[in-house]
Amino acid sequence: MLTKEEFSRYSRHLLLEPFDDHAQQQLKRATVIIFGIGGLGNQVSMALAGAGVGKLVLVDNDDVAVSNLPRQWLFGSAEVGQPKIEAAAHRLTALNPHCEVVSVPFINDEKSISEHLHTCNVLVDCTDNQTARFYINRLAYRYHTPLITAAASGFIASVVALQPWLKTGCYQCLEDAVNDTQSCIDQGIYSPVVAIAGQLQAMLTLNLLTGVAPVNWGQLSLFDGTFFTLQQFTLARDPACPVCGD
Amino acid sequence: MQVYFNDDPVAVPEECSLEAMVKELTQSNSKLAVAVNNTIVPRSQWAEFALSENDHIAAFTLVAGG
Repeated sequence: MLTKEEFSRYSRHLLLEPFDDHAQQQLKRATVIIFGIGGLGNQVSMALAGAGVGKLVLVDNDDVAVSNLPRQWLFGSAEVGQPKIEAAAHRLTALNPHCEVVSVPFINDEKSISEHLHTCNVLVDCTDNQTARFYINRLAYRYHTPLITAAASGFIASVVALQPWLKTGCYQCLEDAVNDTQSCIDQGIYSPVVAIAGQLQAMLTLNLLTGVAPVNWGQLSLFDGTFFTLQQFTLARDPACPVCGD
Repeated sequence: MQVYFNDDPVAVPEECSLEAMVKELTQSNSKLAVAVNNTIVPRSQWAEFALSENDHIAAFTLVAGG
């Protein structure tokens, strides 16, 4: 049951025809694990906390750097040097005190997140390297948990929603397509591009949790900020994939 | 026959495989996704994937940053 304050807080969503109080309560009951609180994770966590997701589990191991500030808007100059998960939790709780924020300081330590893996509704991959992305994809496969993954570097961003255990294609199937050397550190990152990618991830997550709009599983969206184009491709399972293959 | 590679018309031999076309038209295929008519074809299937007249092929690389 939503309180009077919650009805008022979420009223602009509740005015949308498919977004009724049942959808809002679905968000309130939801748990989302966000891996990585960089450019993508900032956007996703702000959008989900603001929209009323009941519990966010933030997983990261970095401290805030001054070079993060142009695109990681949860942080200000005063937070430079602080662990990202602590600074983010503080700001997100201020944004929406109804949202429980849990901070987990390690990204490749399954024990530290195992209790959340058993209860979460969706994994959101906002990390910045292929090794972490493969690890999270395997977690999604083993725990039968939907995975919303995005990436951004330079002027390019991609977003895709996956259900790896259904053997309809997974992130590992894209191994030969991902150039891990094109990172934000090597290439730079255009702040609006990573913000767009993070907000697309957030929208897919909200769509999944509420059902207000369909999720096109396995549809890879590729945004090019240079030409302002959005292309969409269907992911096909690789029979040779070491995770979901034959 | 004619196919389209990243929207440009290209003439390829009959019974041309996707792998042969990618090798011919890209400088390096080490990190590349290739989609035929908007569906990504796994690399393990490039060699046996036979192109058809008017196929639209898109080649692109994904990034991993965030």
